[in-house]
Amino acid sequence: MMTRTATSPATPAAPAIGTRGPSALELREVVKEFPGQPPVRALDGVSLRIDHGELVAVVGPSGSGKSTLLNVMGTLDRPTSGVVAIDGIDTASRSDDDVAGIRSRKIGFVFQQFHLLPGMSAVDNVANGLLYQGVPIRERQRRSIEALGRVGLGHRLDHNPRHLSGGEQQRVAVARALVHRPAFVLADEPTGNLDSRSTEAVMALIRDLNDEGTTIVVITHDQDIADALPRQLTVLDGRIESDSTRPSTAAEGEAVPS
Amino acid sequence: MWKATLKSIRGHKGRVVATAAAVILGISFLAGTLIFTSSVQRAFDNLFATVFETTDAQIRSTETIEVGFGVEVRSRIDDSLVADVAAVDGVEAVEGFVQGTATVIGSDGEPIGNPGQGPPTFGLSWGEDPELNQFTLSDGRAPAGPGEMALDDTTATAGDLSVGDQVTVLTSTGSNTFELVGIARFGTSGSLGGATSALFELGEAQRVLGADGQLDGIGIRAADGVSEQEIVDLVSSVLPAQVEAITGTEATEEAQSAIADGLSFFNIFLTAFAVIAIFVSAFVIANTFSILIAQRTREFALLRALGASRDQVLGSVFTEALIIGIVGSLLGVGLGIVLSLGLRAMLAAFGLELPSGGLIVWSEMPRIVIISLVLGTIVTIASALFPAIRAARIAPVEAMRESAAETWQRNRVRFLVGLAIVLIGAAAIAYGLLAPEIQWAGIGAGLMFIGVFVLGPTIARPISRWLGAPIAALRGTTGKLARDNSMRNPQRTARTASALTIGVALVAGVTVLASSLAATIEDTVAEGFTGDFAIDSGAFGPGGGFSPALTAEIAELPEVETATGIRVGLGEIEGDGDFFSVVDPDTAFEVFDIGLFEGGPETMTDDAIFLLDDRAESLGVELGDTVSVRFVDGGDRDLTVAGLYTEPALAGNQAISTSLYEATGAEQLDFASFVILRDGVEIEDARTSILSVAEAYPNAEVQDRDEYIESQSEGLNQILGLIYALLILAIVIAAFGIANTLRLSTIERTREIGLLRAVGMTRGQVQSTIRWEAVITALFGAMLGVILGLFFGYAIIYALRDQGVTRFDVPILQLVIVVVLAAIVGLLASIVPSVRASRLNVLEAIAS
Repeated sequence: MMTRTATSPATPAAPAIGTRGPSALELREVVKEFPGQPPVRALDGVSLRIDHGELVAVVGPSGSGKSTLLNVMGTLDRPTSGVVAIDGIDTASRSDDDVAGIRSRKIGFVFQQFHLLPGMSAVDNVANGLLYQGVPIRERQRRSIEALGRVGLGHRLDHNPRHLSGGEQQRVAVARALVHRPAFVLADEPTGNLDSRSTEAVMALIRDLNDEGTTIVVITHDQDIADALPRQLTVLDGRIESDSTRPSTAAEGEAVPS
Repeated sequence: MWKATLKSIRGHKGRVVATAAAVILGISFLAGTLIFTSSVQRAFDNLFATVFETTDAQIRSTETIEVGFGVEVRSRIDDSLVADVAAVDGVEAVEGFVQGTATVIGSDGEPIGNPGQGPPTFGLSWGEDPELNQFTLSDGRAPAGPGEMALDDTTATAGDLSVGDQVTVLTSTGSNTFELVGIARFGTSGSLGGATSALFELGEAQRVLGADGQLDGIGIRAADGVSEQEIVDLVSSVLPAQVEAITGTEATEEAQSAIADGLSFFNIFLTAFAVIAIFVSAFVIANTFSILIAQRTREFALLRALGASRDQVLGSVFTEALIIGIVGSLLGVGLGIVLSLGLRAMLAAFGLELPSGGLIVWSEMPRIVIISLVLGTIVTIASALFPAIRAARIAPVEAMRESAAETWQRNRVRFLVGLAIVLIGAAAIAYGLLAPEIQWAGIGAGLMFIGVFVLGPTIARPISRWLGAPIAALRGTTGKLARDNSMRNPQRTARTASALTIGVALVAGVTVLASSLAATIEDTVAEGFTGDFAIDSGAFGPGGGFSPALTAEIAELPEVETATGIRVGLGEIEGDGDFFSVVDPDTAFEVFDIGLFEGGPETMTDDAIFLLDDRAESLGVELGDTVSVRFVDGGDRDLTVAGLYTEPALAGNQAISTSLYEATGAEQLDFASFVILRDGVEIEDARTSILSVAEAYPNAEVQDRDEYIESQSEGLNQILGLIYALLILAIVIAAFGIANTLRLSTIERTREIGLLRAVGMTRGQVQSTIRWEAVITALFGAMLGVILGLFFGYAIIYALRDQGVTRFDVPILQLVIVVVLAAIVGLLASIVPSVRASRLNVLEAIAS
C-alpha cells in the first residue's frame, strides 16, 4: 500500500501512472474560507488530482471539510483561492454561466437525498441531465432510456420517483449523473439514505460503471464503504490527511460493508 | 427548455391552479368590463344605424349647449320651415318632429324610469311617413290627435299598460291623461335604447311638450337618384340662419358618438375597478410565485447543479409565468363573459338599466382578447420578476441543504426603502389632489400600497404578536401556535395580507369619504334650507323633474306662505358648457341661504347672473362686470354679475332667474320645489294638503324639512353601494391569495403538522390553528388597510375643502364592520387549507 501525505500533493508535473492528457479533476492549493468572526477556514490548501477511470472515496468525519470539498470539486462553490480544473479546464477565471456549462457537460451529481423532481417520470428525470447541453429531445429520450438500462431500471422508465423504492430512486439519480458522459461523477453519500440491501446494489452499480470506464468520486463518512474502493482520500480539518491507493483487484472478494 | 417547463407545470397542477386563479380573476374583471361596455355601445350603434337608415337628411338648429358626457340640448326651429323644405326639388317626403321630456306613469301609479339614474324619458311626435318614422306599430293604431298616445313596447310592458288604457304623462306643461291607442317598437328594439317613449300626433306633441309652432328637427327623404349630400346641398339654400341640414349618415354618427360620450364616464368608472382588480391580482400572483419559488429552492439548486445557468433558471420561471399568464388570461376572458352578464344584472339592480342587445360583440372580441392577453401576461411576468431573480440567485450549494424554506432576517434597508416609497406615494397623492391631476393621485395610491408591501415584513412580526395576543390568550395552545406561525415568517404574513390591505383600504377610504360628504351635505342643507317642506323629483339635470305647474298649485294652498321651484338650466358661460341654477328671485332666497354676500333678490333681473365667489375668481370678474352667456336659443347674452355667494352645494357655480331661463325657449322643469308654511300651520295639516296637490305628479316626493335634509345624502348611498359591489371583487381575489398562501405554507409544514399530530394534537386543533393564523393575517391586512383608507379619505376631503367639504367624519362603526368582515374573509379562506392539513396521514407526514 502506497501512502501519500497531504504535504506531498500530486502536481501536474507528476501525472499519475497510466493516464495521458488532462486529469478528470485537479485541485491545487485550494483554500475556502467562510466569513465570520473569526473566518472559518473549511479548506486549508487542498491539492489533489483524480485521473480518468479512477474510483475514489473521499472520507472524513462530520465537520472535516468534506462537504465543502465536494462543493468546490463540483464547481457548486468557488474557492477563496487556488485552482480547480475540470478535465483540464481551469474554472477560476470563468463566469458563472461558463461554469454552469462546464457542470452540464463534465460533472454528474448523485445526492444522498436523490433530488429527483417529483411529478416527472424516471426517463424525464434522467433526461434533465442532458437538458442544458442542447441535446435534441429525441436524443435525450434515447440516451436516457439507455442510461436507465445501464443502471438496471429498463423496466421502470415511466414510473414516478415517488413510486420507486429508495434504491431504485438512487439508481435513477445515478443514471441522470452519467447520461451525459461526464468527466467524472460526484456521489455525495449515495447510500446514506438506503438500507443495506440497496446500499449493496448501488455500490455494486458504482463499481460496474467504473469498470466500464466512468470516473467516480464517492464522498462518504462511512469508512467501510471507503475501504472497499481502490483509492481513498481522507479529509481532516480542511486538509487531505491521507491519500492511499491499492490495486483494484484487492477489492475482489472483500465483503461489502453493511 | 419549453418542454421541460411544460413538464414542470404539468407536474405541479396545484401550484399552477393557485397562481392562475389570481390571473383569471383579475383579467376576468377587465375582460368583463370591456365585453360589457362594447356590447352596450354596439347595441346603441346598431339601433341608430337602423333607425336613420331611411332618412337621407335632417334639418335642425345649429344652436346647442353641451356640458359633457353626452348631456346636450339643442334649440328648436320654426315649424313653417316644413313647407319651405317640402317645396325644394328632389325632396320626396318631409316630416317635422318634436321631442321633450315626458314621464309615463305606470298602472301602479309609479313613474316608469328615472332620467336622474338611467336612460332618458322622452315625449316624441309620431311620424306620419312610415319610412321617416323610427317607430313601427306592433299593436293598435297610430295616435291621431288630441288625447291619444302610443308607447314603446318595453315601457308599456314595464308599466303594465295596454291599448285602451288611460295613461298619465307628466311633461313640462303639467300632468295630462291620454288614451293609449298603440304600442310601437323602435327599429328592431322594444325601446329607444332603454329610454321610455311617449308618442303623440305632431300637433298634440307640440302642445304637450311646450313646443307650439316649433320643431326639434325635420327629417327628409330624397327622390330616387338624389344622393344624401345632394339633398343636403339643395335644401340648405332655403334654410334661414342658425338652421342646418346634415345627411342621414351624419345624424347616425352623431347619435352614436353622443352615446359613446355618455358611456365614457361609465367606462372610465368600470375601467378604474378593472385596474384595481388587476393591481390586487398582481400582489397575489407575486406572493404565490414567491412562496412557490421558496419551496422550489432545492429544485432550482438541483437544476443549477445539473448545469443550468442563472439565465436558464430565470428563463424557466419566466416561461412558466408566460404560460400561466396566457392560459390564465384566456380563461379570464371566458369568465369575463359570465361577469359581463353579472355586471348588467348588478347595474340593473342599482337602477341603471341599459338597452338590451347582443351580449357579445364578436367583432370586438379579438381586441378584447388581445388586451386581456397582453395585460394579463405582462402582469403575471412582472409579478414573477422579483421571485424569479431570487430563484436565479440561489447558490447551487443549497441543493445539499436539508431544508430550503424561506428564512427571514430583519432588514433596516427594507424598512427605510418601504418608508421612502410610502412617503413618495403620499406626496404624489397630495400633488395629484391639489394640482389637481387625478392620475397622480392614483399612482400615489399605488405607490403607497407598494411601499406598505415592502414595509410590511418589517412590521408584521410585532403587529402579529399584538393582534394575536387575545387569540393566544383565549384559544390556549392552538391560539399560541397560530400566532407563532404568523410571526415566524413575517414576510409571508405581510405579503399574503397585502392584497386584502388594498381591498380594505379602498373600502375604508370610500366609506370615510362618503360619510364625510354626507355629513357635509347634511350640514350645508340644514344651514341653508330654511323652509318647512321640499317636493323632490329625484332627478337632476335637463330632462328630469316635474312641471312648474306643481309649484304654482302648491303656492296657492292656504297653508303655504311661499313655494319656490328650482330648475337646472344648461348654458355656456364664457364658452364653457355648465349647469345653471334657475331660481325665482322673489321667493328662492327666502327658502335658501346660499351665502349671498353681494346683491339680493332685487338685483337678479333678466340680464343678471349670480356667481359663486370661486367661479367669479376663476372667470376673473367682479360685481358689476359682464360675462358672456349663451343658452340653447343661441346668441350671446351679456349678463351683469349682480350677486356673489359662497355655497356651491346649494346653488352650484352660477344662478339666474326663472324668467330669464324661460325666455331662452329651453324646456322648463322644476327638479324640486321648496315650501315655507304660514305661521301657526301644523306640519301634518300642511303635509296632507301638499300631498293632495302632488298626487297628480307621481314623480314628486313630498318631504318635511328633516326628511329632506336626510334624503340629500341618500344619493351617495346608492353610489356607495355600487362601489362596494365592485370592490367585492378585489376582496375575493385577496381571499384567494390568503387561501393560496395557507395551502402552500401547510404543505411546507407537513412534517411539523405530522409531528404535532403524533404528539397528540387533534384534527380539530390543527384546523383551528390554521384558521386563527388566517384570521391574524387578515386582521393585519385589514388594519393596514384601514390606516391607508383613513389617509386616502382625509387626503381627498382636504383637497375638497375649497368645494365646501368641511367635515372629516370617521364612521367608527362601519370601519369596525369592515375589519370584522376582513377577518371573516380570512376565516373563509382558511377552510379548504385547514381541512386539507388536518387530513394529513401522520406517519407519511413525518416521514416526508
